[in-house]
Amino acid sequence: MKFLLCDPYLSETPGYIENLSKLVDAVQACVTGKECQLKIFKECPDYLIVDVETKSHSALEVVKYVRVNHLPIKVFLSFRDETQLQELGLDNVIMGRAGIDGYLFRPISPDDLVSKLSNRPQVGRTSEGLDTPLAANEVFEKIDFFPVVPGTLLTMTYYVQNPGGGHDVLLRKGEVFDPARLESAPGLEAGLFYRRSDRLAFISFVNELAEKIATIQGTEPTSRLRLIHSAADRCLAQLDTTGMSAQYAEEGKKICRNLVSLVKQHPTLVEAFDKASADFPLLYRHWFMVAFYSTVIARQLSWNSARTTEFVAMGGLFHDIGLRDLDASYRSGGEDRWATDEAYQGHAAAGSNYVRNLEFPEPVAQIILQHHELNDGTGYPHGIKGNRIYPLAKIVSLADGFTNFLDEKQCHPLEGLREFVSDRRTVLKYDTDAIKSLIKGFIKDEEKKKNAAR
Amino acid sequence: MPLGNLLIVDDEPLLLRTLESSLEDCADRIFVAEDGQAALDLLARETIHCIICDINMPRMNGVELIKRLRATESEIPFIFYTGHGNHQLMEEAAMYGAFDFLHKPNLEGLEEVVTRGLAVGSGGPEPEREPDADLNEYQRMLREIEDGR
Repeated sequence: MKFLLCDPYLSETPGYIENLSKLVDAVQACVTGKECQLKIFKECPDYLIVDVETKSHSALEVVKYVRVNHLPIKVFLSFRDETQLQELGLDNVIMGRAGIDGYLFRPISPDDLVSKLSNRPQVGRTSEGLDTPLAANEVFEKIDFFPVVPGTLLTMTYYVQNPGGGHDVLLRKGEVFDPARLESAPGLEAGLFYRRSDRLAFISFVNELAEKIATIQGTEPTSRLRLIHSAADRCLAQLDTTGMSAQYAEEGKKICRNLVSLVKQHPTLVEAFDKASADFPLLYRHWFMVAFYSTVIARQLSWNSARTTEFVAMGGLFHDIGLRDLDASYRSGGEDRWATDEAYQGHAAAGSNYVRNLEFPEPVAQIILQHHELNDGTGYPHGIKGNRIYPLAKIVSLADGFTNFLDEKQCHPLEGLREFVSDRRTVLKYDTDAIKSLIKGFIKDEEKKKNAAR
Repeated sequence: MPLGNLLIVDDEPLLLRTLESSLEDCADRIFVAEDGQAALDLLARETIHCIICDINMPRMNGVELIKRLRATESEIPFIFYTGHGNHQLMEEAAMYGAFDFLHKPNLEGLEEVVTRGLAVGSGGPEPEREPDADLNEYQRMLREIEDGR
């Protein structure tokens, strides 16, 4: 059992560490939040006790770091005394929401520590019942397919529409799914619905399912692509309507990871994607397609890594996130129509700041900021060119340009590719290596091997 | 094969030492500087192929350093590392052609990015584009798609 103690008053309490060391295998100590984060990264402790007066990265920043990165660490806050706890306005519920497992008063005695560890969790993580009653203004979303296999536990409640236009429960959260329930259900012909308030749960469920079916031999890539597409569509709808919380951002990352692993497994996926997207002419198809082609391009680059592919997939998926602050009229007529409009051009910087506030990785924010920069310096917001453009932004910029081209021409991707890369303007606007990688994405595997051998 | 020389700029000696030791296999020589001015002095004396730099530093921050360097026509790849909350500096860094960004404190992807930065920095200036040659190459690749169908 490894302990990490972060306490700015360590030097004022001689023998403190020695006392705690009698109880546990290893105690590491530090005095600032910054040091603490470095030690968390290097030492991977099982337990962390961080004092609320910690400076240079506050205690809450340290807790956030642990929770945002999903580190399996039990986190306790330490306080001077009960009065300090009250003065700061912290209580069990607030700390529980922040991902804190308990609190102690310093200097921590071995007895206190043993008592707290045996009583965990100390603070209240509120748990809802199996289902919550319907609100009067509840909004429902239709699902295009039922993503549950027989015998699995339902993680949310599904509804059918009744003749009065309302919704009745068909399958309840917590039940084991029995497909027979779908056979004679009245109202099912109009589709199956879930509550919009369950959207996050639905995305999370679809993401997990997409991950699981990747391990099943012989599964058609199209099935997995449908799942990823469905999760992406809802995630983008969320950010387009009510904005996106950190939880949605996490699901967005999972979508990208699924997308990357799918492209890795199936190099000839371009055709499958084309087929699947024809089945789902969704509103946010463009954003998903940019993420898809960005992934295809990144996979072919000689310097590609898992890190870069995930970043371009995320950057591709969220590249136009800044448009959400613009008037709806900006979404019609294609990007060319607005290319010189100052307010429209602001979407790149607005989008990058938006994701920074959600604590997205900086490379994703930079991709969003620079996805309209062009190799010849004619892009925006800064008109930078060549090697000054962030390398990952060049990938998304090309994917965006290619997707817009396909949308405009309404042709098969391969036909579009032929025309796209034969245009001299394309050659000058986009990065040569990125264009070659896009073409390679269309070459079947055997051909790629042959090329590599030449 | 030479790996290239790396310069690390940070005002925190602890982090400088940690980075220096974790990157020793990635570069031929590693130089360190505790602020932007010291980095500029060092750049005037030594051949550097890639710079890894904290964005927030007293006296001269990372963006001011890249700005001064770019004013001397230098295109050395610049890798910034940062915490959250430096939006303005990050947007400015983009204007001067930052090569990549790493996030403190875990610096995920550090070795990979530094290796790539050194390779680009050792490769000399960006070659002139030859659009006709590029177009011919794309056509050749397209023919391979046709052959593979």
